Amino acid sequence: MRNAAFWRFGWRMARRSLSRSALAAISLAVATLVAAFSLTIDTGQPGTAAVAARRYLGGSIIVQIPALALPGVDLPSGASWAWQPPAPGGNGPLGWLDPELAWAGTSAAAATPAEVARASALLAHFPGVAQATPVEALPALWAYAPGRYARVDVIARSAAVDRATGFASGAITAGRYFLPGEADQPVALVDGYRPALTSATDRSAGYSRDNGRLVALSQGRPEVLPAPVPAVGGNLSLMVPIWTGGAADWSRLRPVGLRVVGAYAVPEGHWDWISQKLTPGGMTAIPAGSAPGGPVPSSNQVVEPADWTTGTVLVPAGYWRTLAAQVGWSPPAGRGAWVLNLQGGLADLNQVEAALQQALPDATVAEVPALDAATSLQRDPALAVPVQDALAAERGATPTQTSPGVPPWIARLTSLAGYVVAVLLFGGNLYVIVINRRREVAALRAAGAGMGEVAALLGAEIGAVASLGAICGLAVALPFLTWQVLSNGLGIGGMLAAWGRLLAVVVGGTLPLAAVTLALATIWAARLPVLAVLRGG
Amino acid sequence: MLLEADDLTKIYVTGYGSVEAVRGVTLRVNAGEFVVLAGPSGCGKTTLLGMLGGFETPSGGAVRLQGQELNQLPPHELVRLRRTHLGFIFQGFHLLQNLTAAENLTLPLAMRPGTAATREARAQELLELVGLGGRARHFPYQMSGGEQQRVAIARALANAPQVVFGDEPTANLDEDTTRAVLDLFARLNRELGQTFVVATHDPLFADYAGRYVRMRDGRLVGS
Repeated sequence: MRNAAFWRFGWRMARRSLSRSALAAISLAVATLVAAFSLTIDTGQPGTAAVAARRYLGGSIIVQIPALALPGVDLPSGASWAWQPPAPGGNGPLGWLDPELAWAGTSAAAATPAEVARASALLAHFPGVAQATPVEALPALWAYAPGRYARVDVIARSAAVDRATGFASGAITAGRYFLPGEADQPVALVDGYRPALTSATDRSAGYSRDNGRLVALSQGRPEVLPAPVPAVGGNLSLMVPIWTGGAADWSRLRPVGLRVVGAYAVPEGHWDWISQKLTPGGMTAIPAGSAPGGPVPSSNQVVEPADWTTGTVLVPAGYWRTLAAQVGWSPPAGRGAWVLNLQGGLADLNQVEAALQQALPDATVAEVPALDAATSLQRDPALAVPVQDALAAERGATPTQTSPGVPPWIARLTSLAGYVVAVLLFGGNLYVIVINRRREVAALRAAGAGMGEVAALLGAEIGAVASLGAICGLAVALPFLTWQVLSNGLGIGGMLAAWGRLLAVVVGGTLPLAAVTLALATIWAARLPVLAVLRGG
Repeated sequence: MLLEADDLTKIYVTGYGSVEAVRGVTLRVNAGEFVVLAGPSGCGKTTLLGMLGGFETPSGGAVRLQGQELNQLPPHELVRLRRTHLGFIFQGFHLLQNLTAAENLTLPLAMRPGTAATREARAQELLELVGLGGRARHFPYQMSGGEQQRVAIARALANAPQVVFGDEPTANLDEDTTRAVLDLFARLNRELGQTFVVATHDPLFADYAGRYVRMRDGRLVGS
């Protein structure tokens, strides 16, 4: 209790000598601000920016939504929808997906309402998509520019990379999308697989949630088919993601667009056939003409050259019947989907398109938007974001903070160094404050004060100065951090997370430093030559 | 006998050799005495005072307060002794500038049991005692040197010590103020029976001291 009185005296002394404390307080405020800068660079870490808007050239917007975290989505056990992170030393070229997908695949409760809201807001950017509920939103949404080929509300994705070309042909695992001018018809879709790249760390999977039915696919093969999916079928198209940046460095592969290669019909009610096509062994395991329920479409052989890697063909239902008729197959009634696994690079996909057009002369092939930057940007000025900025946004940093060519770790290291310097400056100033109290401490000791009372007095002053500095720093840093976080689209959840991290950094840096300073000051006070000091020595 | 010093010696060892600051001083102080240690600067007064107050460890000899040998006490006991039995007044006043006069007095009082109210009452009582009853809320920098020294005296008296040591307590004061402070010492000595041991080179103390002890070269040379 006696020490409590000394705490009060120390607080009064600090309060009445603000000018003396100001330098230390300012240094802590600077440290706090530097920490805030550092945190804005760091917001791309898992859990804070997984839902950051990704803008790419070509008019596409890709929004990553942690599917497993969405309320109501109940993936069957063992269904892995996302890429697995490359193992250390592994050959996975898809490391760019880490850590976001790794996080999404392991955290079932991490999606924040802000993330869901953000996804919904982006969905609303596309006409006809706003009806999608968050529950229906799948892990990754590849949305296409409005007015182009398709409007997409739910699409999961997977992808594969052609090592030779640097391009990836990918599977678009699906939910539902719509063709302009046609009745909305839900489509299930399917994944491709990549035999050339298959490894333990290079897996893809997808699932479709349609009318409450769930289909999960892994390595292009169905893992879980709990029941027939009567709703699937209808509109299918051939789509490939276009990648860039991987020619020299696989880890820097980035999708820059989505190419629609074709749009084709699929008969209804053929899910069983599809599922068998996707059983281990894939299409090649099923001889032409031996598909259950009827002969296999001859075009199957056309679109399955041996040197292709991956692709997904979604064929509109109306054309499927035409195609089936051409091969003399009368599919059973009902809805279904037809999936063609394609192998090869982008050029080969064009061959697929040509082959399908030949087989389906009446098919309406969707216009393939040019992936030219200029035309894409003209198409949608809102998407006119340079690639570099898009990549920076993808990593959660603001373009102004991550200059081209400056790796984020250097930016973080620089911030850390600034923070450490500012904190040490703060510690030094605190110590100066303390040793300026040498006469007061000596007088107290002469009056019979023990080390407890002296420590209480000094501790109160150190605490007051540290609090003042922290409050001043936070007063500047919090609005700055809030602006940064909100302008990056991270929402209230991201803002609160960033606040928490800032407070943790400030408190975590200040408290130990203040404690060390107090301990040093107390030791110093214990050794103070009282008489010499009080005589003016 | 309140305070006894027997054959006290203090030798400082420096890089340039050793200095014998106090040489075989023997001194007895009875309760209620007003003892002045007088002598020129550097004669060892402050060193002797430091040993009497337990701040300095003698190189030889012993100091006893009410029969208790100071240099045999552990540090925490010395702290307790200074808190309860000893008071100190210095040339530079050494008041805490950011605390008011009353707060400067309640600070040593806070080291002992008691409520804030009793501490404040005692502080006011002490200020009245030194003639500064109306300056309780004034800060040291709002007071003259003599007033600050009177607050310092009050602070030294706060815990009702058995002996108050003064080290050149009037060196910073003019003659009139010095006389006022000496009047206060004499009054406290006379009315309260307060024991003072004061080191000074100021001859004015001779008019007020109960015993005037001269020092030279670390030795007592006359009384």
